[in-house]
Amino acid sequence: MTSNTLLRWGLYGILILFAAFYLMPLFVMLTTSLKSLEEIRTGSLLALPRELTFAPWAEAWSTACAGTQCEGLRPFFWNSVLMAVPAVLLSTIIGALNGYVFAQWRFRGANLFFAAILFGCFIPFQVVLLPMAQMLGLMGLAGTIPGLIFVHVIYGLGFTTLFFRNYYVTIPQELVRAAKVDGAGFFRIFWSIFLPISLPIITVSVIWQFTQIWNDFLFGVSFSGPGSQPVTVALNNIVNSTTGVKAYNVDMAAAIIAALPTLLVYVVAGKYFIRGLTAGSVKG
Amino acid sequence: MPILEIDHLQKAYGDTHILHDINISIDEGDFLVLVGPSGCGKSTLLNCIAGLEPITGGAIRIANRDVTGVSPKDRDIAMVFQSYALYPTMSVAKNITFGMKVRGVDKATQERKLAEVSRQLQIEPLLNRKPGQLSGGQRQRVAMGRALVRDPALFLFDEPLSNLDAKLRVSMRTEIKKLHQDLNASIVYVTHDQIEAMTLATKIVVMKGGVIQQIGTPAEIYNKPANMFVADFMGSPAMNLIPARVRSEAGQTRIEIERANAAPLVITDPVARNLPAEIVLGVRPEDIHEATGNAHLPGTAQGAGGDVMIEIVEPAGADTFAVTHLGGKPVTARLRAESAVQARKPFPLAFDLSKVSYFSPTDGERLN
Repeated sequence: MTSNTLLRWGLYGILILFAAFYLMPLFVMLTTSLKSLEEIRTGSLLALPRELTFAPWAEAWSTACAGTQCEGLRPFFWNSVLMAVPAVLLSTIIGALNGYVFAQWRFRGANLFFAAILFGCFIPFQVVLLPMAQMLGLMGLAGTIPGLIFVHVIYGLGFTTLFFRNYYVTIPQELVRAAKVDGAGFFRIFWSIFLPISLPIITVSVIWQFTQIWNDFLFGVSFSGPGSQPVTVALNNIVNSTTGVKAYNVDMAAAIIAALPTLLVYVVAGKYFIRGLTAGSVKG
Repeated sequence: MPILEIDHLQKAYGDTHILHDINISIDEGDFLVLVGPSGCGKSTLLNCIAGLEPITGGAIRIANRDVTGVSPKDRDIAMVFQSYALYPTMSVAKNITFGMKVRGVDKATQERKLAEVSRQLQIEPLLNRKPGQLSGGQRQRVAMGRALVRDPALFLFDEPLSNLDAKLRVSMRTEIKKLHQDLNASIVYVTHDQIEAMTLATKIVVMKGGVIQQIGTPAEIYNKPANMFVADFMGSPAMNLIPARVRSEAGQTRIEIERANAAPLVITDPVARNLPAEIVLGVRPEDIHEATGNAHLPGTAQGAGGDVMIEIVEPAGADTFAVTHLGGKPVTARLRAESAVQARKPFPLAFDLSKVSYFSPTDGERLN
């Protein structure tokens, strides 16, 4: 065996080790969620289930208690969908328009505005909690899903604007000029010329925003009311609501259910995500 | 009837003046070429005409209508860009009809005009392709098609050939010229290539540093350059600019040119009058001839006795270029291909004095 192949095997060994390390929690979660409580108590953490049971999943979805409400994750899951989908779409569309303006319709003070928006990306969540709560109260949106949508759109705009601005800045200005001479206006140029070439960066923006918004806990727990809690808050409540025995299998199933949508989005659109992130680096 | 009039146009970005007091007027059917080195403001001027750049002062009239504050789409212009600026996600057909679609032209007219233009430019087989699938020359045609289909009062071309390879550039140049003649279109065309300017234009504007140096027909620009910059910029190889001294003797203008290893050359110009003591003599390479048998030429370099020392001989097929030093500057002569000229040997040369230009060495302006 040459030292080269030895090196290669060593490399694979390390990679497999890391992969196993990262996959282990998922493995434990999955197997635990498919075991009965009895088996969890008696068996090993890493053992495969002797008897498959989907009861914990059903319980997590529809009967588990979050605090005093025992309807499972289902209502909160829909809250999250109702919050995340509009918030993702709005922040992406507005971010695209912002980026289009910053990249192609330079105006006096544009750099200052852009710097301010960028700065928004780096403001910690905690800093805005109190002023935002007051703001939502003034707007009559406190404790509602539209309120959460508003918060997430505002908070996401910094990122989406940055994505789209950096994507559009690689597009030659002559394209806008040609369209202007052709008679097209601001929105027409955006709609007919810029949006059709934006698929890669829209994918990036959607994945990024969806992951952020769906996984968010702090805004969810701060600004939601009893009827508008997102799934992350409910998951926390389910795990923390114990009725005597700790139902690890239900907790695990609930955690996986709560994480599924972001996983799904990444699996479906992941390859466009990579493509979008590297777009513009090679000019076609 | 003037199709484009530019009246005391000024353009500045803040305190930086880009264009200074531009005055141009062209008639219908004129092919105006704005030429100059990069950074001379020619593209900015074109963008001002298009309305893509606001102007700081002055006025622009297109087809007798003041368009100074009018937006590009309402100026009755069409423009071809250097990068072609084709809409990447639209097919060729959609690219060409986009302007009409935006303006609400009915479908039937769009189809008819598309067919007309694509036949004219021979791009019919490409209509369903995307710009990414086209070669440079094909993109160029589509870009022209997009302009032609609009049938505007004025066409604007911004260095349309600069992204093509040398051979394609020459053939597209011919096509643009043919198109101009067939359509009798009025065109403003920007280029940094003086050969493009000479071959295409009916009128040339030479610019430098945001100032117009000279406006004239290609022949005027070539034969009577207004200053040393124009003389040097237009023509390839460039005009020889030779420092010389002037003496008036018995009513005759005698011009002395320093020559290496020999007494100065003295040329007698029977026509030129009132030249200052120091001048720069400008003579194009093709206006320097072999002196033998050219006795009819009004001035000869060997008149003062002695030929000039040839340093380099460059045969170029149709012509042979001979390089010597006069007045401390390299001087190129374009001789017949079969000329017996040899490097490192003296050779008799004659200037065609009917074609020389005299410039002031201080401000570079033309004197004759």
